[in-house]
Amino acid sequence: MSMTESQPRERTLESPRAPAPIIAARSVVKSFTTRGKESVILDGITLDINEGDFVTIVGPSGCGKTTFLQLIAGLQPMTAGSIAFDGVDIVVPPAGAVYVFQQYGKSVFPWRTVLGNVCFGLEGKGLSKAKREGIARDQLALVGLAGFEHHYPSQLSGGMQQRLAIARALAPGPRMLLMDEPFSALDALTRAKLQKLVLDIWQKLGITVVFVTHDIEEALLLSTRVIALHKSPANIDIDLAIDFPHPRNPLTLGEDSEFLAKRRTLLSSIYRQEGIEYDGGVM
Amino acid sequence: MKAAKKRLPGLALIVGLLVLWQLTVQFNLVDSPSVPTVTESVDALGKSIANGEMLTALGETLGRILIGYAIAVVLAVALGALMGTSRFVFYLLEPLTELLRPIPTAAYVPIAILLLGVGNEMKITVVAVACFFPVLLNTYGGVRSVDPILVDTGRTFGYKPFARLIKIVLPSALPEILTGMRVALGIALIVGIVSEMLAGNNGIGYLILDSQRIFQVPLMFAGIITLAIVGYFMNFIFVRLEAYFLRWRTAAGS
Repeated sequence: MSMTESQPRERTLESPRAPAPIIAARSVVKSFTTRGKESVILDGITLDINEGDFVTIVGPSGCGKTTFLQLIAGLQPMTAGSIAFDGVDIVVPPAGAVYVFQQYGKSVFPWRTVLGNVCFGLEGKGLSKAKREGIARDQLALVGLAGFEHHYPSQLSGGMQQRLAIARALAPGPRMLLMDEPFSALDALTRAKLQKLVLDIWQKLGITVVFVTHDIEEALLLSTRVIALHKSPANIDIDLAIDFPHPRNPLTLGEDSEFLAKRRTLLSSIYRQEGIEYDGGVM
Repeated sequence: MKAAKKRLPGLALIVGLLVLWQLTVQFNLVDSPSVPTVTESVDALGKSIANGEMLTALGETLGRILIGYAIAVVLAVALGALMGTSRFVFYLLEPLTELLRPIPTAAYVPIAILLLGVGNEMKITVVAVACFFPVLLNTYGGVRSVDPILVDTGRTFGYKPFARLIKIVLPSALPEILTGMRVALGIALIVGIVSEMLAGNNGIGYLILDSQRIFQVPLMFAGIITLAIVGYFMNFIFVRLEAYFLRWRTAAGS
């Protein structure tokens, strides 16, 4: 944990309201062993996430952001430490947390219709078909895919496929969404539309979102808290509370002086680690 | 209309060849006692259908083929799914299947006769063994190539391994499984007929061989024509079913 004096640190781990955290990560270590050589990816991360927060994890590429998100999702085993979801240690994917993949095209089921895809997370729960489809139609309306129920994913654009993946994730009524660079493969305009959609959904449903991105402006626009990781091995570099009022307008927010200061703080962390240096230093 | 037009040359070629067959035999350009004319063959076919001989034989043959085929598909998909999902089972069974697979099925027939006699059990078994390998190979190939993100999607929604197999892995591998099933269906017909020719006293394979032995050559040809028609329709039905089950692949544009 090498930290120089010049780095800003704002800790919001101890929130004044102090509700029970929905996620409590304690000294989480993740390492891989390849050809007898062990490489540590995550180096003892300790972190609480409060219910209802929109927490975004940023960091240089390959720093382990996605790995950390997959540990929270229970999709990978951790090497040491623990993560509790609502007080219960995660060993298998916890009910109530749904992971949304970066590669939406590989995550939607091509053999199911749009409606069938959204019904996926509702099956095997004793709901009637009519009930499942009713819930699925509501989710499709929420993400703006009403009218596409009987299309197959191959008939949808990339942005629509990711909307479908979001509708499917919301259908079982999760308390938390884990989103791994969900918009990184989309064009700028589609990304802007989906950012607004996710913000609207988060406000409307009051769920917790843990979001991974390498886009600092996206992180500042969406989040109530941004955590920057440093790499090799990863741990928390910066932990920033983002308290811009809602609804947030990306056009005016982008010119806000506090926004720009926070953007600079986060970008400098990443630039420094990626070895991008300018005359007079990056700060 | 357009599709029918495209099919016209192919149909014309078949009709042309039938006419050529008819004329060469009729004008004694080939040795006529061993080759009947088209009309004689069709006549024999009509008679054998009328007296029930052909349909009885066809029923016996198809019954055995479909039972053997169904057994092979069920076992091969189940074992293929296991080999595709368990690395241990794959490395346990893969060398054995690679060793057994190249053995021509006809070579199994003498063993099957020793063990099971010359009745239905033997023929169904031989068909099942022959159909087993193409379905097995395609199933584990398809299962192994399922994208891990699809499987992880099932996990994040709380699906347990068996539910993931049924709802994600097998549907995702279905195109490959169906390819194996189509190959196996062609093999089933061949092996079913061969087993009847090598050992038996009924079915179309036996009818063809028997009519050759007693010089009822038109009936022999009638049997062969029946096989051509049955084979064609079996494939036709299969392709239609395949298109239905894989309709999501062809759905594009809207």
